[in-house]
Amino acid sequence: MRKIFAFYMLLGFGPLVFGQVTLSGAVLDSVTNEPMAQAIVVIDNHSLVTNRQGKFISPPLPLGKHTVSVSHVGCTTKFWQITIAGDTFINVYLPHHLHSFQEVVAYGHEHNQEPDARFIHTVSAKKLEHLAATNLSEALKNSNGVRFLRTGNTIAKPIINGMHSNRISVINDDSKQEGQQWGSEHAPEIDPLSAGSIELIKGASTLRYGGDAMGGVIRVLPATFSDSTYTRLSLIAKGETNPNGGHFGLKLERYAKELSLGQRFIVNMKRNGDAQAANYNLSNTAFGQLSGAYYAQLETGRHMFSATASAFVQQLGILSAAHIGNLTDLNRALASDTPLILKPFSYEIQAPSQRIQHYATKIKWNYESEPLGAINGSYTLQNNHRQEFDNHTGKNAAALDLNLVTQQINVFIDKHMQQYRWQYGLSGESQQNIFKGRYFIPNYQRYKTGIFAIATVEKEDYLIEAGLRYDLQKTTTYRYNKDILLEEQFDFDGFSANISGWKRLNQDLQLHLSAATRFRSPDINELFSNGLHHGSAALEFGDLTLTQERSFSVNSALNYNHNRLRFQVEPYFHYFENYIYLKPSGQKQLTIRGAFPVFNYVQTDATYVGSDLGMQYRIASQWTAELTAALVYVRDITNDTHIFGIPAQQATAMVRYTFAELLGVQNGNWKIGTEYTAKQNRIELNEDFSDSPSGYLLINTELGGQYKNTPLYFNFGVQNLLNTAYRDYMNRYRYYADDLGINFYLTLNYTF
Amino acid sequence: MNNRFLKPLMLATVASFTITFTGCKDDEVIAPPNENEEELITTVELTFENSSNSNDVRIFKFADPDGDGGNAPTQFDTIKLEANSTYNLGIRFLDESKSPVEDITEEVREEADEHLVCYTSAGNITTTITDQDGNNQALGLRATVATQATQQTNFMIRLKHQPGVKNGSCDVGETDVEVDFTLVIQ
Repeated sequence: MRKIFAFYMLLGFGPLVFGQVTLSGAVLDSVTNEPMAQAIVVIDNHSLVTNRQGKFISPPLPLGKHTVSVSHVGCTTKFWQITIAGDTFINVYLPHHLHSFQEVVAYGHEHNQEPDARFIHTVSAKKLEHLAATNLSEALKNSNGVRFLRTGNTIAKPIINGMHSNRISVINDDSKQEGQQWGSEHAPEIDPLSAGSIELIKGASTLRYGGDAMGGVIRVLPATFSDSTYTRLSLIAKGETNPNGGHFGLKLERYAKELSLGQRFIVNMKRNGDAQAANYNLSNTAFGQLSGAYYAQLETGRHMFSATASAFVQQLGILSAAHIGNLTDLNRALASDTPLILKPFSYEIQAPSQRIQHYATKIKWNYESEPLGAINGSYTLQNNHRQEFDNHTGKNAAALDLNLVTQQINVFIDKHMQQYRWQYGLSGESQQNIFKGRYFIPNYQRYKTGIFAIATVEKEDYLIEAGLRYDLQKTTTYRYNKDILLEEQFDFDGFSANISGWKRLNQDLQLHLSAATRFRSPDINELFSNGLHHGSAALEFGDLTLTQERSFSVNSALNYNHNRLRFQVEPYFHYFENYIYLKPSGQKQLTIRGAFPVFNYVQTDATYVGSDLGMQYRIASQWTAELTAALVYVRDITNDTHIFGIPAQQATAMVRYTFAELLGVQNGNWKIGTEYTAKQNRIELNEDFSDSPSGYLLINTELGGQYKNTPLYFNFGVQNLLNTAYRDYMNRYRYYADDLGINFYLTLNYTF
Repeated sequence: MNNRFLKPLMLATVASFTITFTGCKDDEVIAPPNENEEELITTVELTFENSSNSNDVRIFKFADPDGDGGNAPTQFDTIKLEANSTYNLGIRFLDESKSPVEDITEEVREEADEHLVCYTSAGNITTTITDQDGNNQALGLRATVATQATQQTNFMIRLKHQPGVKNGSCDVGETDVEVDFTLVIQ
């Protein structure tokens, strides 16, 4: 796992000779560092073949931007653009021993040609196709250190560095994905198939995407096109038994070289019935999704224009047994081993349910300016419409109806000057929220703006980056209180700063370090929650006097890669001032539905300490062992207590067998692994409705490969092989029902 | 950091956005819904009519007019009944947060096949539901209560919403109302 897809490093700059320079280099196996002969290197229109030492040298080239592609039998072709300022030697690492099925993870500067200090794990487009992922969480499920906050099997939110929801940003290319992200049962509304690739940026190593993403950033990148005229159609299909259903996706990509016009169209459909726990049906957990996107990109001279339009519609059932009216119902649910409502399997989605629609469009302009550098400007319009239906109002009228319209403008300038890089930009956002039906959060109009500058210096074996950012937001809320319309104003502003970098300690060992301070303004629910949260049987009270929270973070990563052994150690530390969280008060309040426990949004000082760990060891030529662990410890240091809702410690172990050909399967890959989640013992007595669930161990296995010499890839797998009955601390349904039982799945991916 | 310089600059940016986007500022934003459209039950009203004396009518209430959260309930009566008597019980569910007061009982009756009112007590009384829904299952808006010796006990009222799962049991469905009155039989 965690193989470097392809990366290179500039080893030096030769002298300028009348504007004619050469590009030379070596193509190496990314695992063994061995030279790869007979690799095909295409630089613009020049086709070269590497010699026995894996080396190549280009004919004289003009200065400036060139397109380079490197391919080798059994490897995925790698394309990128390179700006040559002098005679240049590059090392190209190809994942020759690997296959496209493997998870692709690379640190930022290795994957990108851009020098930067972000700690990036990348999931490639090919990987997304093979995963047949229909939501962001499925796309990230194999990324080390990423966990999920779940509501059953259909709603999952990524957790990075122990943080989720408001402390994680999902960035669509350059602008933040705007939904009702404060809700723990509100998943990001994005279809990963539309992405060129997905970057996972842990911690605070960049300020480019806003100051409030303390835990990390998930960035969805637009498609990239190969530099030749082609039309490519990919079909993706997935069938599975638990939840019983299927998924069909289509991706059509077209590039016309003479016009420099690239287009991409995707459509994704998913439908499944109720999921099954190990021993019973999980009633009303059926799911449907229809999503599509169109992306076009046109290059003329120094200009590039792109446009995106996307639609995402989801309808999903909420576990019948999880919809409760009061504490007596909850206690009865807790006392019962099985859910109180058990109905036979069905595809029907009944109330309680959610319907989420997200529509977005973006236009973007990119201009290569000689004096200023690359100038990017974009305008994004998003409309997120969330409707939640409960048993009372049924299917016709939503009990909760929130309509969020967001407009964003981003300007970003990126200038390279030899080993220096300057990035600066400005972002602005206008957002309005309109609710119907039940009051949960008020209507509001919000304006946000941010300005940032990042300076980078890159040397042969180290890189340092420093950034400064200022953010300001003004929110006006509108709500009724006893027939009086209240108009309230909330303004927050502050600075964020970071210093990040990496250093190559020796050929095998790299150290990344990042220190940052950031702030986050209290979100609308933290200010305004007032009353019963249906479904969680709790009275939740916001606080209008909350101030912004500030974090001081250190993230680091040690990356070792030598021969058979690779490992990554990614420790982090976050100190929060005025950390906002929902704290159980220990009090109960009487209502007409009985007494409910009271939870308050409070501010305290808190620490997050943890580490993600990964290790891969090649036992034999075809066998690899992989271990990962994700540890996090969180503490309310003002009150000296644990904080509710933090993931338990987790570890995985896996063995992988790769083979070139077996029974018609090429580039095959079989893996079997276990996933262990410990019991969360770091909880306060009596603050939760029940004790945290016991630890559990799951066994998963998967066989993947390419059928004969065709572009048909398949994955066949079994999740929870032993059909273990378990409950997870981070799943909100844990009070009511077990998690998913055994699941068989088959994904097919055919590219024409 | 010099906030004095940056803040006006950013405010200017915000202002220019405001101007740019004002065109789309819906009137809807500044006019949130006032009426809480969800059925809200704030009040349970019990009417006990002595079956052997129609002039003996006793009314007891639980009222929390501002709904869940907010202020504490304003009225929570103790039920007082005579020993060794039989009462005809009628129950009303009201929304007193609205003006005029809305009677939710009508909605419960209209959706009788999805609702059940349950009466439980630890004491020595017998409660019998006397009305049915369209499927001949108990509804509970009307009942008889027979008391015995004097005692102090409780009388719990639950209104269950049981769409599709109503089976005569009080254990299924969602609890819309749960009020545990003190009952004094004297």
